[in-house]
Amino acid sequence: MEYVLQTNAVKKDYGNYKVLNGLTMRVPKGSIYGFVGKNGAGKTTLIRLVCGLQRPTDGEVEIYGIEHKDKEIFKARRRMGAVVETPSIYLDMTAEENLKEQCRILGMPSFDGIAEILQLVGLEDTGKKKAKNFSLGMRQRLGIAVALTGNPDFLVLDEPINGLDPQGIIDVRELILKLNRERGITVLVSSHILDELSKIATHFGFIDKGKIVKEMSAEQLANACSKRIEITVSDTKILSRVLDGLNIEYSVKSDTEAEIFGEIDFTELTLKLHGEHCDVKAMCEHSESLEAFYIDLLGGKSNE
Amino acid sequence: MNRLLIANFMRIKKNKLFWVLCGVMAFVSLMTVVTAISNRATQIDGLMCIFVIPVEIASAIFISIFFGTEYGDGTIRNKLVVGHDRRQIYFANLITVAAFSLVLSAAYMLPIEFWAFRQLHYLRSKPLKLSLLGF
Repeated sequence: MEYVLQTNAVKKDYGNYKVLNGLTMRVPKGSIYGFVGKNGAGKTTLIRLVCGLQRPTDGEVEIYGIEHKDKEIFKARRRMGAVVETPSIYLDMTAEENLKEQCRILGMPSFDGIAEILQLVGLEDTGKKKAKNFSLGMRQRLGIAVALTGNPDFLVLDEPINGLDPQGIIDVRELILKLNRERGITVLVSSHILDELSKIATHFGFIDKGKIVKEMSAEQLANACSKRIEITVSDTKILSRVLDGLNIEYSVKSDTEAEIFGEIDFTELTLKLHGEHCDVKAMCEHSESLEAFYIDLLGGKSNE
Repeated sequence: MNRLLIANFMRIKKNKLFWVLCGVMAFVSLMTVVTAISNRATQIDGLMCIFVIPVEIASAIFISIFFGTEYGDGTIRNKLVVGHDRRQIYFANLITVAAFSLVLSAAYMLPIEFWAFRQLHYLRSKPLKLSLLGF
């Protein structure tokens, strides 16, 4: 699998305070990678290192296979766009002027793609309105538009939905999905709102205290959070046979333990197992909300 | 670095404060000349040399606002993210500042040059006469 971004034991210290403590992660090409963590976990710091705004104390950051210390790293960065913390826009310029300024910084020969980018982010009708008169959602979208100037393959968004109203959140979400599906742009999105990320991300990285705690795909996360029944029987081979006959999804953990996913008829299953001379020792139902999964993984106070 | 310079110059060109300051410089120097002529001054050497003060003040105002915006709005990040080196950015800013100061100085000096040409014979300082003639 090709990776757009790889970090290898990255560390970042501010004096004696360790913000990143040996962080290793991989962002697959073409994915929407959701970077999740508590406030102060190190998400923004890592993004700043990836974007070249700061240098790591130790470790390597590779973008498109080029290490951050390499002189050729600027070539890799030309293929990137980023919105870090707040949208970086000139408030005394219009949307079009902001994009033109970015085109000049990139050395683009013409301003042909600007109208298309403004239409993509929904700012085509702003005309001569200056960015200082934009709403927060509009500024966020203009920041993304500036990041899209230069046709990047890799987009880094640091908490893009912060402070947005529900419609604004939907707009940004739809935009990210559109960029990924229609243009094949790899997106790294950081957030502390797992519910929102779960709607768009294809991969997840959970960060806590400067380290990646877990990396998983969206499918794995869905399985981890879905309703499941943990069953203990005398022989899981017989259980497998019975469940295959009932077309029920399951996962065998050992000779006596298994997990069954989805809704089942307990009576029917128990009777069939009894008929096959398989004893049911224990049965326990689990289901986890994303929030509960997040708290279990990263720790937190109980509010019950 | 050429891209950074072009981006800076185009931003300056669109900046209203830049044009206002150029206008103010030209107005101040014009008033200086008019005052000198109305007082039948026999030399304006000293008045020319104090161009440094208004130009410095105007430069300080403009540079702090113009480049402060990059840090305040965070737009310097746009340059760093796409691969420009910090040294390139700072050096481009330095050249921009130098060019801006030259333009402001020119805005101040042009009226003096225009009027003072006619009053050349009043100037006592030979080096200054030569400088007015472009040497």
